[in-house]
Amino acid sequence: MSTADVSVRSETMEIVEGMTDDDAVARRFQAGDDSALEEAYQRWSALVYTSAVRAVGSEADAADITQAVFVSAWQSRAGFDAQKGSLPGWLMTLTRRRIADHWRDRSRHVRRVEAVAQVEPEEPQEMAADAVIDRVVLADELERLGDPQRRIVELAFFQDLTHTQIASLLNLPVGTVKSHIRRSLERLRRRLEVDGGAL
Amino acid sequence: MHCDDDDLAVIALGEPASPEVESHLQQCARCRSNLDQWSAVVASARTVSADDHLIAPPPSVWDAIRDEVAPAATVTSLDEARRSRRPVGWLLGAAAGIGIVLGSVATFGVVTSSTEPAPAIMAQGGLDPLDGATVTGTAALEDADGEVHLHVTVPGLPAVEDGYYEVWMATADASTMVAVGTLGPDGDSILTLPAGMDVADFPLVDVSVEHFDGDPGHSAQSVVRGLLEA
Repeated sequence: MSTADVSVRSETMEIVEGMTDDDAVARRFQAGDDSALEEAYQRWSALVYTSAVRAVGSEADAADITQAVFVSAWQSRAGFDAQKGSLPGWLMTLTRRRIADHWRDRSRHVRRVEAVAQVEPEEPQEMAADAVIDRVVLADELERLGDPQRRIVELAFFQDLTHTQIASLLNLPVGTVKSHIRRSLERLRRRLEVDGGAL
Repeated sequence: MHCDDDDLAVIALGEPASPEVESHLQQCARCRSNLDQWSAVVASARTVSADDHLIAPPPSVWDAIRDEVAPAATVTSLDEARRSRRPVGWLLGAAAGIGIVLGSVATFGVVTSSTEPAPAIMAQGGLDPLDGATVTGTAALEDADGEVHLHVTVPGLPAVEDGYYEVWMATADASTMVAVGTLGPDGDSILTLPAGMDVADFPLVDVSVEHFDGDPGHSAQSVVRGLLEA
């Protein structure tokens, strides 16, 4: 291999390392490339919609929330900084806000209709919404885990097998299973930090 | 010497810790924090049920988004438009951007503008107090020689600590809001609306308290709101 080949390859590697597909979509989105809006929608609308369905309990309201989230994300994209945060993280922030607005509007409506001071129902609903979003985000990230991590994590989380039982079931070294578990937990933790409700 | 993180990970799953690890955890904040965070992830993940699996929204949602952003996407984003304030762009685009409902009034305004320099009022309305506010105001949509202006007046607004007042135009149900500019300390602003904005879709004018928090969305703290009527 010639020297020129080596330098070309290392440049390519740098680009690939520094930037995931998601980052590239986020940058184009921020720059106002309208094909990036469609791509962002394809990637993250299910996350937004499912969180909304689970939090507000109505598919029609969740569809409205999803529409409002993507429209406001696009229209206020000047306020999004791809250097500072992830695009799905920002979309989830907007989703949480729309869910909170939904409950606020509803509680206002209830107050107006009944014309009676009500006990504020907002707090528990918003806290419940955060837990719901955490679950949806985790369900999404669990599905994105490749094998064998996914299989290992399923056995550990949902079948309550110990790491040694998993190692013998999957015929993998005990150390390998443990480090897959550690890496998966760290990945889930980071995803929750970015997109989860408990900020 | 810290614990092996692989050991901590399986402890987070509920497996027993060895006496050495147990005693290290008593004194080491770093390892305890890792374990706590992973344990929280495990606890949360174990509540995931089949209902939490992702479902795609109905196709109508994307169609609605595309329809809603189409004008802004082909011209400039409203935020960019607001910042750049290029008058040439507005002049060219404003006539096309005026809504169906207001179209005839606008045409009239353009035709008569050579002899009638005062802006033609296309629509106007009162702004009523919200959320315990006591002030009221007015908003008027004006055709100023081809540019569309929103003239907002809300006298007597108290100063906002670490913040400012933002003016929004919204759909009638307030489900979609577009920031169109800020309201100055004198409570009077004439805001140039972006070319390509279909004002008929945004008949609701809202003024909110915003803070310098980098959050582009509406704070949900509105002070006044009202409908524009032609």
